[in-house]
Amino acid sequence: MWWIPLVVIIVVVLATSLPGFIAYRYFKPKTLWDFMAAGKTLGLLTVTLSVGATQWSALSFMGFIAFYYIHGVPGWLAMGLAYMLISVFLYGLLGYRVNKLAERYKAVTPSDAVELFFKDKVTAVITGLLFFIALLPYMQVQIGGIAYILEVSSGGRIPFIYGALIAYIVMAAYMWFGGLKSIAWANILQGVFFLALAFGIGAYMLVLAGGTTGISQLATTMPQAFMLPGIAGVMTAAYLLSWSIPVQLGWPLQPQIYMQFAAAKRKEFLFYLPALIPIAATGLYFMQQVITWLAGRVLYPKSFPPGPDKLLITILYERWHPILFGLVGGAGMAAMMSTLSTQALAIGSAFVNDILRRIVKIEERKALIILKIIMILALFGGLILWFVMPWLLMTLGALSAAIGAITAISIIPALFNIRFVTKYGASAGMILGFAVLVYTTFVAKDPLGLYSGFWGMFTAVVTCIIVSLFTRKYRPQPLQY
Amino acid sequence: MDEVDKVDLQHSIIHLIVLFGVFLPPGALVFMRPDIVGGLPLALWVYWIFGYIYLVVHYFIWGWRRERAYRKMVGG
Repeated sequence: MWWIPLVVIIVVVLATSLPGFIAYRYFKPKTLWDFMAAGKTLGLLTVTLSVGATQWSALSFMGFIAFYYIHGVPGWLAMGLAYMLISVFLYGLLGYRVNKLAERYKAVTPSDAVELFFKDKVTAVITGLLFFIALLPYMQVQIGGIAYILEVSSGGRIPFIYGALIAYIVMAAYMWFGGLKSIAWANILQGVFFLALAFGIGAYMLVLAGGTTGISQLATTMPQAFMLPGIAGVMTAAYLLSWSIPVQLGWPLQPQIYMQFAAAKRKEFLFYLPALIPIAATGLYFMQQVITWLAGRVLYPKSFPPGPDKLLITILYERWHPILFGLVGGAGMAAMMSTLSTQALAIGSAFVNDILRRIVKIEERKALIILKIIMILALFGGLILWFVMPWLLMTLGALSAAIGAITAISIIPALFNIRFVTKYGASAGMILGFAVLVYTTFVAKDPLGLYSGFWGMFTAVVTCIIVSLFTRKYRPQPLQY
Repeated sequence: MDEVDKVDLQHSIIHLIVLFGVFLPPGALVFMRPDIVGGLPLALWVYWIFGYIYLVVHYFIWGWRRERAYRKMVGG
């Protein structure tokens, strides 16, 4: 009976991908604008669930739970709550302005906005290049998640490549034809399915933790789990701030999220996005993840030998009926697919729209085909790289979220008409900020007990201000919209 | 600065005060404690229950005020 969860997972993967194919019946993208921004036709519910599903990824099922298990409430505050306090607030603040630019100038990606404002291709290409670097390793995290779910589900009998290939072929098919519209439609069902399961998992974990009595006992036996600097003792107030701010600032600016703001049918939709995301995210951040790490600490107070990132999957595999576990595995796969598909589109867009089209003159029809090919190559190339050198990709993955914060110095001025920042200030800030981020991640790790992402962002902002002061005569003209 | 920008600025200021006064340090240093209140640690009450209510209520009011300002601006 070991095959039951696998069959259920495959059925869930196919079923939740169906809306992606249905979308193509109603909307056939002919231009880059149609493909990357769904012709600006996405409704409020679609944008909300699609943005949510893009964010609910392998990290939600594995990495974040491990992060909370290691750090306790401070870890959850830095990631889970700070996501809703900082990232989601910025969804509303930036999203409305992104949509206004898309409406008036057909600007879909962050680089489009940067080029419009600074009237400079170099600054736009640097922005696109940084996102290209950021997104590739981010995708590999999802592949790692798929690998683990399939490995556990088959009891190690079936190499994950077979299951991953099915998911990849299905995803590649609807992405190729429908672009963002198909991705967003598939994301809806994938997101809803994942959310429904998350509620069930949360309720089960609460029972496993011994209810509120179990949690209050944990507070007595392990008080450090509920206060700074957390269980591992590294989440000091300074580290928490230096971690949360760049990471949460970076996410809303990454193209896979940004492009969905541009794709909303009406800019007024973005007014209610911040209120709707926490409601949808309740199942995830406020139940499943929080209660899972609490149950994990109640059951395994010292450590969890298979590794804390495997806590949720392992607990459910050992305790749940194979069909039910198959549904959880399917929900996990759906969550990872919704993230992967949007990231692959963002990588293709960053390469073709943000870099290639700004360097070489290329006609629209050819650009669309190249974008599709790059998108598929990124998807399958990532899978191959996972086998060849996963260590490199996982190491680079640490940089991913913080890179978005560095690009803020070019994107935010474009969205808010901040004319003090010049193209030279933005470009120099991004290059130096990225160099410092790499240095403080790999060489002098987290200097002065502050997260490397903070140092990258700090350097970018300071450099941008100084260089902009010296190049005042190149101040950009305000955008009219 | 148009009407929507003004509403955004007001709510950004409120949000920043609550953000650093309650949820993130320095405010978090006061509220993040393992004391048991009604069967749950204080940290969970503040960050879980209060956090959720604050988010939903504040974001809805913000959205509603933005829409009202926008309609006033475009004359709808």
